[in-house]
Amino acid sequence: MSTALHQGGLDALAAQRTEPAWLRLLLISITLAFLACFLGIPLLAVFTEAFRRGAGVYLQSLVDPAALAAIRLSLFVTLVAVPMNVLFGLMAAWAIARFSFRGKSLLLSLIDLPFSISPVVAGLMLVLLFGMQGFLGPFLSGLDIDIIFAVPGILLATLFVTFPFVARELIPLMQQQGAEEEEAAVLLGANRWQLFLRITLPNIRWGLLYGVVLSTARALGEFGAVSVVSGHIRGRTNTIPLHVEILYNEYNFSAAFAVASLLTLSALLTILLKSWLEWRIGRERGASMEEAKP
Amino acid sequence: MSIEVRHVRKSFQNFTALDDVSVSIGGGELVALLGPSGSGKTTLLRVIAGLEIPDPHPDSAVLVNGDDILAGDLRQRRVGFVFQHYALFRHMTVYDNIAFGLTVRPRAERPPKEEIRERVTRLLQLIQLEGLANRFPSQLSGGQRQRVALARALAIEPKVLLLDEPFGALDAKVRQDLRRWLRRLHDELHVTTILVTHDQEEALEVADRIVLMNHSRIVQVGTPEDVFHRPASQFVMDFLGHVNLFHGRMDGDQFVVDAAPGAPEACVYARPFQLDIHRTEAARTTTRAKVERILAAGPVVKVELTSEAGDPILAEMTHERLRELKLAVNEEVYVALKEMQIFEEDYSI
Repeated sequence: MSTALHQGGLDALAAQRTEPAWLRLLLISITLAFLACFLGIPLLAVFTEAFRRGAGVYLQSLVDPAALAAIRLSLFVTLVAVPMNVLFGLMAAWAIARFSFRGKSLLLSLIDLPFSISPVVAGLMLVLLFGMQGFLGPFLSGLDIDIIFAVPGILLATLFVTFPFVARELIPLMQQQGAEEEEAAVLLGANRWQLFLRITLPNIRWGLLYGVVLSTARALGEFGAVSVVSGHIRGRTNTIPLHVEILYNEYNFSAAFAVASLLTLSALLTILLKSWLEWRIGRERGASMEEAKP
Repeated sequence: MSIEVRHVRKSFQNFTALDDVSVSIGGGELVALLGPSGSGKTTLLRVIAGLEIPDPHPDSAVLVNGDDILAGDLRQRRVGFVFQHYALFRHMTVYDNIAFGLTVRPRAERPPKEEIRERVTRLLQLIQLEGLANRFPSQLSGGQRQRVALARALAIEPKVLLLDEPFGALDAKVRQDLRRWLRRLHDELHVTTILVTHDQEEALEVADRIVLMNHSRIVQVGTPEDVFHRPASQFVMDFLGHVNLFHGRMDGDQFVVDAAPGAPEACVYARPFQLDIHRTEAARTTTRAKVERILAAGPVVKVELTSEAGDPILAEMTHERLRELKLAVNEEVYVALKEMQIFEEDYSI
């Protein structure tokens, strides 16, 4: 009886705090309509366009040699860029979260730089540096090393735009966790590897995975920076997004959408992974908060 | 294992945490580093552990059993350290936390699995948490985590045990129990132990000796009786418990409240139990006072008074004495000093 009254009181309070029913309905409808227009319908359009001329054409577009080459190149670039970013990100996060040194805030802003620069400008920077008219271009071409309009340029561009993801995810996490567990491990006799593998890595694993998922998504989907340095040589320097653009410009819509559907699927997978990881990280943070309490 | 700290200085940017600190601690002692927060006691503990490197200086050294540990490898020190917030490995069970120090040893020195299991089991019995070996730290209470942290530090059979505010985050009852338990444990194991605390009661109750710190320096070292009954300064007197302050003058070696001008000024510190209350003026009377409150719920009776000058005074007496005096609130009484601590006024501050 008393709980029922109590509950009633709470409901009354909640009702006072919230907006009237018609306004809530209106706001929710607008949000849903917006989502449907800008996310739902385009998503649907990608797949209907992709299958417009049947599953046969869809598959045909994916096993086309140029498409296969683009897929291979994208996967290769991602498989190289992401592990490198994991390595750099771990080192940068370790340095920034665990030590204080001169120029720390400068380093932080440098790590953020790729976020604030337009990818096209990033690509142009590489062209200026390594292109035939650039600073290092003539020197490198003398050594027979191609960077621009070749795979190394694409790799550099991808590395540049995906650089912040791992470090940015790890720095706040490691700062929040503090160095005490690591200090305890060292005093108990752990060496560097044991410290990293048994204490540091397990504590940051979900945050690290989150950074990997984000930078993989970006590496697969990057268009601007890669487009500037690639040269669009079919079968050789085309990544998946560039291949989609070429197909589209050739009015080959079904093939364009078929290849685009691959990127869409990877985006959906990313979202799933991302929300699962966010849930895991939230749980872990909750547990560590619990632990910090007396 | 004895510990000797010689002329250690440590500064962080513009802040000096340790200012020429020297102290020596005998083997098997339990020493409390006591001081207000910011006095440098935790920094001193971290220097002894090797977690902070003191400012380079030709005279400074930290010796454990005669060996300069600043030169050696941190991992070889065999220092058991218990952090204020325990720093348990959050992704490991209680068992794995305690076993960690043994499992990270180089293969040649690592005890076999069976022996590790035996030692961890023994430590779990020692901390009375046998049933919780498979729990994670987040599933334990504060007092349980504290004990796991201690067991983890003891597992490596440390030469010295360093505890940073070990009971700071626990509630009063648990703190009392753990404090006595730690003292018994120390009497059993005889590991040289340094305990950092800001709680004077804790230091006085647990430690063999107390090192008092203030403003990055050591201000007094002595047994609990020493520092309590023979404080070296007003700061020590004030820090170790409630004190009543009386201003007056020295007349020869006699302290007189409101004596004739000309004699050097002095102030007297007296703890509540060093005061006596009389109905009539008696020897060593200092001042008349009015009774404000009588708190009789406790082992001793606490009486709050206000002196003629308007200063608050706290006196303690036995229940028998209260019945004898038949004190009541708002009565005028005389406050006398049974014992006192005289400090001549220091104008240098």
